[in-house]
Parts: sequence; C-alpha cells; structure tokens
Amino acid sequence: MKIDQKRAAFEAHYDELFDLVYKFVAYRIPNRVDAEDVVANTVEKAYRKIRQFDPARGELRQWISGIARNEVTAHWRSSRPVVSLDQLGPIEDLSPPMDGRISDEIMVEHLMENLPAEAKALLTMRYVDDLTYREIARCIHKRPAAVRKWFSRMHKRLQIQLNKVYES
Amino acid sequence: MSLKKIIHMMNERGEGDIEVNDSLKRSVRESLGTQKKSWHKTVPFGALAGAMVVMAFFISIDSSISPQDDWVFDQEEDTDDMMYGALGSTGGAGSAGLGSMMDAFSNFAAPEAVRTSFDAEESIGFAVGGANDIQTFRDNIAEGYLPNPSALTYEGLFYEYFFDTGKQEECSELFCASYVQTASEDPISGEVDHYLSVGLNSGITEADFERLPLNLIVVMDISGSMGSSFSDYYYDQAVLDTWEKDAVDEYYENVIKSKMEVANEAVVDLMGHLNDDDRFGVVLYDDDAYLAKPMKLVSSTDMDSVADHVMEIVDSGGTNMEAGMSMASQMFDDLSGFELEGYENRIIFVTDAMPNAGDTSEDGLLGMVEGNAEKSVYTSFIGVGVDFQTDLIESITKVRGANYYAVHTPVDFRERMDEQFDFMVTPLVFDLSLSFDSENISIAQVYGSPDADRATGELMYVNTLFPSASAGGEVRGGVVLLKLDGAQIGEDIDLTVSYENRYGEEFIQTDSVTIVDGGSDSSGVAKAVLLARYADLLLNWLIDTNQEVSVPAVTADDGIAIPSQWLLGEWEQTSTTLTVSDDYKELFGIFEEYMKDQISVLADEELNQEIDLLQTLQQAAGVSYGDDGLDGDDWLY
Repeated sequence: MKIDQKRAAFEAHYDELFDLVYKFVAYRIPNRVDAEDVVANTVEKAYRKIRQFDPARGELRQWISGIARNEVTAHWRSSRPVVSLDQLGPIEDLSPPMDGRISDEIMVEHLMENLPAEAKALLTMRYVDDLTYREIARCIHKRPAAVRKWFSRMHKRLQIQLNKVYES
Repeated sequence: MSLKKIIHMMNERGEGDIEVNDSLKRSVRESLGTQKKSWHKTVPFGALAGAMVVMAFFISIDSSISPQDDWVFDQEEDTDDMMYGALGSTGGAGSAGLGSMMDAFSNFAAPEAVRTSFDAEESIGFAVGGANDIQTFRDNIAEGYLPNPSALTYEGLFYEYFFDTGKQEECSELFCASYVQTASEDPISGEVDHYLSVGLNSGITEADFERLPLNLIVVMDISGSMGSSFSDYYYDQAVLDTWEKDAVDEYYENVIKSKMEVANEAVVDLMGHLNDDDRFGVVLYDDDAYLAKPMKLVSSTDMDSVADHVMEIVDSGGTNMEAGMSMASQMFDDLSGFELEGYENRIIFVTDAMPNAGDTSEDGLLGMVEGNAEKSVYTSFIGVGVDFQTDLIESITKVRGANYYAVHTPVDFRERMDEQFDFMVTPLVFDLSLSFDSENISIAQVYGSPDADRATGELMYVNTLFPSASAGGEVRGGVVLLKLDGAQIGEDIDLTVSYENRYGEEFIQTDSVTIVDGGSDSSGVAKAVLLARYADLLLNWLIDTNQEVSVPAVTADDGIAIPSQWLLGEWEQTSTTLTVSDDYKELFGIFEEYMKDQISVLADEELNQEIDLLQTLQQAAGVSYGDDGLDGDDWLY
C-alpha cells in the first residue's frame, strides 16, 4: 500500500480511530485535561508516522492502539506522581449487591462502581495492557516492591470478593 | 470467570461509557489538514517578506518537534572526509539508574508474591550464546546448495526448540542448574549411550525481566556482495559474467530482494525495539568505514527520518569488516563512564561476512570483539543471505557476550526480534562451569554450547547465558547435553557448578546424580539426545562430503560417531551443489524412522521440519564418493 493510500485510509476512518483512541486513553488517564492532550498527540503522531503502518501486520485500529498505549505510558512516566498507592486501598464495601445468582455484567458493573478511577487505571495497565510491575512502577514513580504489594493486596481482595459473589 | 477476564470486561464497559469530546475531534482533524500541507510541500523561497513568513511558520513547527534527523552519511559524496572525523558526539547524558535493575539481575531470592500470585508469571530460562538458529543451513538445503559444516551448530539447533529442563524445585536465584540422566540406544548401531542434560533455569519471572537501557551501534555491511540476491551466492557472479546481457537482465528481474534490502529492513526492525532512554548510532562500511549516524539518545533522534535513510542505503565497494568494527569500538571508547555504566552496551553487525579487504584474518576481528567484551561492550552478528559466512562468525561468537542470528525472511526476523530482542542484548550469566567428581565417568562430547571445545574430561564450560523465553514450563534452548563415557549403573556423580553474574560476583552450587539404566521421564533430555544425534549425523555427512571421504563416518558398528573437527575456509565462498551419497541416503532413511517414533513420544510437531529436511536430502542428487561428479575444494583464496 502506498503512502497516499495509507493516508486516505486514515482520513476515511478518522472518526472511528479518534473515538477508539479517546476511549482507550481516557480510561487509562483519569484526569480529563491530561487525557485529551495525550489523545491529540496520539492521533497527530499516528498521522505523521502513517508511512510506518504496515497492513500486513494488522489493521489501522491495532496500529493506532499500539501508539496510544506508548503515549499513555510516556505520559505516566513524564508526569508528576498522581497516584498514592496507600490512598487507593482498601476497596470499599464490595459485598454482593443481591442474593442468589448474579450475572457477569452486573458483577462487573458493581466492581466498577466501587473502584477508584486510579485503581481501574492500574488494573488496566497490569491486566489489559500487560505492563510489568516494574513498568507500572516507573509510570507512577513508585518502587516496584510497593506496586507488587498493592497488586497482591488488590488481587486477594478482588478474589475473595468474587468468590463470595460466585458462592452466593 | 478469571480475574483477568473480569478486568477486561470492566475495561470494555468502562471505555464504552466514556463520551468522546467532539470539539477536540474537530480541532485535531483541522490540525492534521494543516500539517499535511506543510509536510509535503516544498518550502518556497522568494521575497523577503515571504521568507519571513515561511521562517516564522517553521519556527512554530520546529519548536514542537525536538527529535533531530542526525544522519550524516551521503553515499553520493566522496566519503574520505567522513571517516573517523565525526566521532565523539554522543548527545544526552543519560539518566538511567542502576538500582532497580540491580535488584532484578543480581543473585536474588524472588519475592514469594511474585512466584505464587499469577500463573502467567512463570520464570524465564536461560540459553547459551553463540548461534541462535541454523537458518543458513536450512536455507542452503532449501536452495539446493551444500552448506558449510559451520552453518550447523548444536546450540543453534537447540535454540530453535523448547525443552523441559527437568527442574524439580522453584529456582530462587539468578541461575539454577537442573540435571537429568538418561540411557538411550543409538538408532544405527543399537549400542546404549549415556547422557546428562544440564537444565538452564532462572528465578527471574517474565514480569521481573526488563532490560537495562541500551547503548547500541549498528554496523552495516554495504559492500558489493550485499547487492546480490538474498538466495544466491555472490561469488557465483563469475558464472553470470559469461552470460549474454539479456539473460543476465532476465535473471536479475527475477531476483526478489537483495541482501542489502533485507539488511535495511532488518535494521529498521531493530530500531523499533529501542526505547527513548536508549542511545543509537550507525556505522556503514565497505572498503572503509563511515559514520552514518552519531550515537545519541533515541528521545532526541528523529527515528522515522533515520529509518528512511537506512532504507535508502545501497551496496558498493569491498568488505572491510575490521574498519567497521574499529569505528564502532572507537565510538564506545568515546563514551564517558557515566554514559556506559548502567547500560547494556552492544554492537550489532549486519553482514554476509565475506571480508576481502583490510585485515581479513579471524584474529583481526576476533581481537577487537574480545577487547570490547573486556569492557562489557558485546557483539551480535546478524547474518544475511544463504552465503552468510558461518565459518568466520561461528568462531568469533564464542567470545563472551556474543551471539548471532541469521535472517531467513524479513517477516520471520521481525517476529523473532519481537520475542528475542531484549534477551539478545542482555547477557546475564558468565563463565558457567560444571565439574564432575567421578572416578570412571568423563565427558565425551558437549552438545548445545559454542564452547564445547573447551570441555575437558571432567569439566564443561559455557561462556555466556542469555535470558530465554519459556512456555508451558519449557525453555527455548534451555539445556546443554553431555554425552558420557565410562558410565556405570548405580554410580553417583557429584556435580559442582559455578558462575558469575554481570557484576563479577561468583556463585557455586552442588548437586549429585545417579547413573540409571534406561530412559528418563523428562522429555527435555530425550529431545536433546534426538537433536544431538540428528546434528551429529548431518555433520558427519557434511564433513565426509566436503573432504570426499569414501567411507561414511557413521556405520552400523560404530553408530553415529562424534564428528571430527573440520578445517575452516577463507571467507569468500562459491556455491556447491547439494549432493548426498547413497550410503548417507540410507542412513537418513533409518534416522527418519527413528525420529518419527521420537516425535510421537515427545509430541513436538515443530520437529516435523527435520523430517522434511531428511526427506529433501534423500531426494537430492546422488553421488558416490570418489566420483568425478563431486565438487572439490571450493575455497577461492
């Protein structure tokens, strides 16, 4: 695919790509102003680097998601510490919202309601974006051991809570 | 439902609930339209007022783009004044700290939480340095050429497969050896051989592993031989010279890609693995060496523009590898201690390795690679083309911290680097030695280490271990195999292993193994024995064919003999047509049946590629030793 064709494809799918990047970034960077800076940088960088897009390796959506992920990581690394691990836990009441069987959808919604935005961002970094503890630690300017400890605590609490939900 | 899946669902739900800022969407779209015009139009120069407007416009653009295109090489110009003259500019002081990586890579006890919390966080393993594939060997067979024996290394073959290392306990240190002993019948002679596999385990998890920032200089061969097709022997050019022009033109039209084009793509792929806090430089060489790009921080380099320059490189001139290595070494010498400390330091040579200018001796290049290694600047070789000179590189990559890969196709190389780049540049264990305490047993052969020739009767030595990927408890290239002489059933062997970490600290571990009669439950040692015998058989065939020996070294009486050493040739080489004698065709047929049986037991479908290779060899042109049809000495020099 020639560069003009790549650029045309980008422009044709601009709305879809922008929305994808916006939601991806905004979920990971709770501060809306910061998130929108990263969104703009991501989209502009992708358009500027469109020559590097290789259709053989995946679709535009996948390619721009990779750029967005790098931009989010770069943002975390360059910004001042905004996450206090101590203040993130413990999780507030996560007891099952109802008796009897509970659908996955409702359970997920319930968990989300009780998690602070920063905790969601950290869990997303770890379990969705597959960052290592060390990488997360560098992002939020904490020691890796502290991040491990926080995840260990969070993991246990979520697991206990989920077990309760399933048992109920 | 797993926790990971739940968080994925939360993520999807969370993103779905976010409302997009349409105002921002419009403004970004408008800015893209502006940028598109400015990037693709020629800058107009004219009236003063117009120029001022243009300057003001570019100042505003430049102020937002700090990375610089610092490529200084122009192939159109006379290159004399560029040699060595522009060295010394390194840019950026670097800020990487040592603390966190010291934690990860020194001899440590892995935190309990790391080892037990998540199944996905299994430990990575280790593999030896040296060759990381036998791709040049495979490509030669596929193209109908007789490979050099040096193209088939045990460690290269092992690195193409995953092995159960026989680990019985969790490893809580940087390195842990595990041992599995087995007895196995030679498929040709039926005699029982005894083997001991040494599993290369680590206590580092995937999550813990992160390479240090990297100072990297890529040294690219731009000599004339790089202009030939990836799948041809350059020094067959003499044959082309006898053809009619039309025939030559038609031949080149059918050529898919030159080695230079493949090399350019490989370097751009490597660049994609660099981080902002890495430093990167480029040296090119033909008859001489040229600084193409000073070593600077990636964050201050316009990597897109540099990639464009790399893709435009064309071949020219002779091949003076020494000059390229010398310039790269000088660039490292010019770095301050602060810029070296806390970094991985590596030179990556991209070449077909056929030097014909400067000091072409193995010692000349070897001396520089060794000298650099003493300063913790290590070397990787990326081999390009079916005529990649494995003799030269195989000997040089026995140096501490060195390794080499062959590019099969650009896509294949890209996929391998995605998995292995960080491992490739991060040697972690050095000077690994394993000594025996046994009255009767000695080491007959070491398989899977480039330093096999440094083994003595009771001592195995491995120069360097690199981290290696693991999957399902198995480690890529994760074993070294010892063939034992004098093994007696029931005898105990006391084993002592010692090694150094990257900071020169020494560690010692002891263990013991009892010689057993029969096979082992470990698939790792069985796979290693299968591959070792396979490699031995192929090497015997290659050496016998190269030396025109009339009686194959592998016989029903002696079984698959340990191959003799072969003489290295000079570096420019022509092709030799693939031929297999009837004797070896029969041996390959017997081994094929043995290998099929083993594959069904080991359940490793990857091994079927070796069945395909054995069948290709059985279908190759035949020759009887001593016939006039066998090509003779093919070294040019």
